[in-house]
Amino acid sequence: MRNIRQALHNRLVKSNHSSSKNDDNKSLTPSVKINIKWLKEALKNSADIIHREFGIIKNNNTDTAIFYIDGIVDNDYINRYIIVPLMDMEQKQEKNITIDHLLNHLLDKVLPSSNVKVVHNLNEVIHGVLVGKTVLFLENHQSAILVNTISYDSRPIEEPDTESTVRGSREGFNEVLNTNTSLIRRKIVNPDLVFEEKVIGKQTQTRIRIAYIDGIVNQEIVEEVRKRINQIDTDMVLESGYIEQFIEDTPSSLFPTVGNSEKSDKIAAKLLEGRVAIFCDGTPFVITVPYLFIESLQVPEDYYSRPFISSFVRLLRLLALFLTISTPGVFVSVATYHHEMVPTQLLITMAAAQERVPFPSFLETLIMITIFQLLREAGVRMPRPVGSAISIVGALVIGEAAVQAGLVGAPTVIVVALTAITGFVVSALNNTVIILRYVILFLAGGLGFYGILLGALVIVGHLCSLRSFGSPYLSPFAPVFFKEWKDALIRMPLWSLNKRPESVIWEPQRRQDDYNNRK
Amino acid sequence: MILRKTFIIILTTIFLTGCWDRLELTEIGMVVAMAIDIDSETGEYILTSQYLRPATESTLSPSGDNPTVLVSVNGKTISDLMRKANQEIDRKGFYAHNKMVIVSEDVAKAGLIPVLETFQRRQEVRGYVWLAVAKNVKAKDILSVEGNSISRIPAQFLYSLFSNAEYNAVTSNLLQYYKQVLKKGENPVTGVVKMEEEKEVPHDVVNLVGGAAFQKDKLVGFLNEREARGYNWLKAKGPHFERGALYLTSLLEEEKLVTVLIKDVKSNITPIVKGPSEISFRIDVKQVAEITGQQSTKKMEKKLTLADYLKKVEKLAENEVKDQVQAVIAKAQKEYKSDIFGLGNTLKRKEPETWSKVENNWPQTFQEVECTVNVEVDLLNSGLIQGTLDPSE
Repeated sequence: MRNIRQALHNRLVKSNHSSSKNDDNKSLTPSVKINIKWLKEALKNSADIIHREFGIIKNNNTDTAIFYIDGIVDNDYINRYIIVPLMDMEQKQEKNITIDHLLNHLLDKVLPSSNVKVVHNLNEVIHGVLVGKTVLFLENHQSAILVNTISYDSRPIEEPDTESTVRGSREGFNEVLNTNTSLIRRKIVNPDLVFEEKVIGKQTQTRIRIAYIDGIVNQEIVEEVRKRINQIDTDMVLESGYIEQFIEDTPSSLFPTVGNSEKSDKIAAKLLEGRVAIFCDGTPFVITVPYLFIESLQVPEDYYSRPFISSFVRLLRLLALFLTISTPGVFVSVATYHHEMVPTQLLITMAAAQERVPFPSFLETLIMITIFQLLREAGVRMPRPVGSAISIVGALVIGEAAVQAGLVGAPTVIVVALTAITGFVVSALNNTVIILRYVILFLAGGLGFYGILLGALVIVGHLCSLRSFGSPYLSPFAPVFFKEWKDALIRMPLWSLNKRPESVIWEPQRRQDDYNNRK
Repeated sequence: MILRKTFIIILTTIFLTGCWDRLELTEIGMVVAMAIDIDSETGEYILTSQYLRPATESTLSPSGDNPTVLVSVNGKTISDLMRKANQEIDRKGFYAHNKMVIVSEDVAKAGLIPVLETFQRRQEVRGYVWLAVAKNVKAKDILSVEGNSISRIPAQFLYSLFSNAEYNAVTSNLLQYYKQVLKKGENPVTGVVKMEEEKEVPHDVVNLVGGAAFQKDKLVGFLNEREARGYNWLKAKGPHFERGALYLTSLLEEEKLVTVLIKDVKSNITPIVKGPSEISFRIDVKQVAEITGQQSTKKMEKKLTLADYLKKVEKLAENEVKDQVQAVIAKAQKEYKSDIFGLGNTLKRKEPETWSKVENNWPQTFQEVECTVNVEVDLLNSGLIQGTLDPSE
């Protein structure tokens, strides 16, 4: 056994060693042929490689070659702006051009591309080719030209399905990093808006961009973000969720300490509040830090509509949060322990409904909320055309049919429905409340109201202990930043929100002058 | 170490506490009313509990049964009977939603404390339960009577009867009874339910009128409608208490009546101590009323006449109220010899030194104390009609 493990270990070390040997910075040779051969070897003669050799100096057949990977380049662009100018060169050949000056001549006079780069070693060439650039080798030069020909199909900018809105921008991010950052650029015309690019994921080489507004953001937070991102050592980053899970403060907590959104206006607003956003190539979801608990109860629309309804809806969301976590638990404890705590008429109704139900209330509620979760999961994953079948079956399973069959009581159905509806209201915390709902339900089933209180105590205590990139999770409530209560559970009019959130930036900053001082 | 501590804390919070008396809704039998009688032959108590059949109240498929079940058990103590009832019905008795405790006259005469004490001790029956004495009828029969009930559940009917009671009936719940019976210088009064055999409607009718006066915890007699009214006015503690209509002679025409609706009543008892044995009480009753009916059709010529008339009606109402209050005081002093108004208690609070002298002899002293009654009726308005409606040709 031990031998096998030892052998395995040796092999791993060896393979690491050999791969690192391959990664050595190999300089390019003056020979086009050899360069091409190396490149082909490095890319394992993959089927999507395309290269073409031709001569551009008179009477020379193969002094130049282009090389790219099919499908991730703009073929039209290559033909029109690389191959055609090169081939035209031979005809309007100027006498004094020798092969040695060719590189500078090409860069200065021939290639009309705005983004060209001269590289000297093979690794840079390989990386460039892999991301969709076209490499141009020249005979007698120990360097190559990388022309940016990156092009791939992408989704148009659409309204995000996850965060639909009645009033406000319907513009959502797509899967292309550059498009996403450009959306923010367009919203915030400020030279201080900074995008720092990094590449993470050993295999995927995913490009990410850390965005912040210099002068608003707290540089310590940016530094912390950089530090945590630099520490990521993983094969793949396929979605910003990977980054989120690597950099979050408390990975073992049920509560998210990193926010995400696919709406450009929301991300712009968060940047303007001094938060740091991390864009990741390949996903429309952009993550933001620090993320406070209160952000789960806020949506961009709160700021677009007038303050009265915004404040009301925010309070409703808080109510929904309480309800969605505790309703099944409260129902079960009332039905099994605290019969004296409900009005007589309600108890009679509950008892009447429970009369012919074969399960104890706890089991009945547990079954029903589990069935609801099953239905929800099925509804999300089902292909669209069969989706309607799910809603029909779902209505039967947790609806009147179940009550008529005598398997569940009508109040339980209402409890589950209420739980579900309120759960959708606080969609940002949906993943958290699903688990908490079960925890509270089990506590209620075993200990009654005492259990619910115990659970609430633990949850609130836990929330108080959380931090997100230095900001206490429950701020502005714990610790108290009284001035920020103007934009927490309620939203005061925009003209009165003079200060940027101190719980995020950690220093007093003003957005606007006090109303009375304005001209 | 921390892990061990956490573990111990979790274990203690879960295993050393909590509500272990887990009962499903299908296991409990909701008792909504209780009646206590005495078996005249054996002297044992008979406890009759009205249990609810929840299935009959189902909104989806109500079963056609009678919505309630009456269970009667007899034995020596109430506490024992509450357990004993569990052996006769397939549900565990659950008393927290009980609405009514009705005791028969015999039980009340023998003393209520031995009966009600267990309710307070175990807190199974709540304090906010109406307490009433059944007059001339078995308490048990009250529970089974159909009455003029809109509610399907007799207990609900009785409960509403108490909640809607006007000033000619005394209503008192267990908590009030305990307070009054345990307080020094006060004796309790409870509600009275009566059954009347009606000729016109095919079933018996239960009504709530008058009151039952106690001495200590024993019933000494009943107050009639008029006396109950006087009692309620005397005991009225603040606005919106004890509403009711009061009719007086119209003054405008013979044999016609004017009705005033008493809206707010407030009374105040002041002890006046002049010497060690010269104790008297001043009772101020303030009422706000409005005219709600005028049978007379005699036309009033001037506004001034109307104002004068209202003054006269006020005077009339004051005299009427005074009469009724004095009547009930006389009855308590002379006939029942029981301080049901808490005069002694007022004395104790306001003149503690005098009280300590008369305390031991209070029941006798009470019979002789002088009570002056001052009534002030304030006629707020005469409704939407100023004078009288004058039919013309």
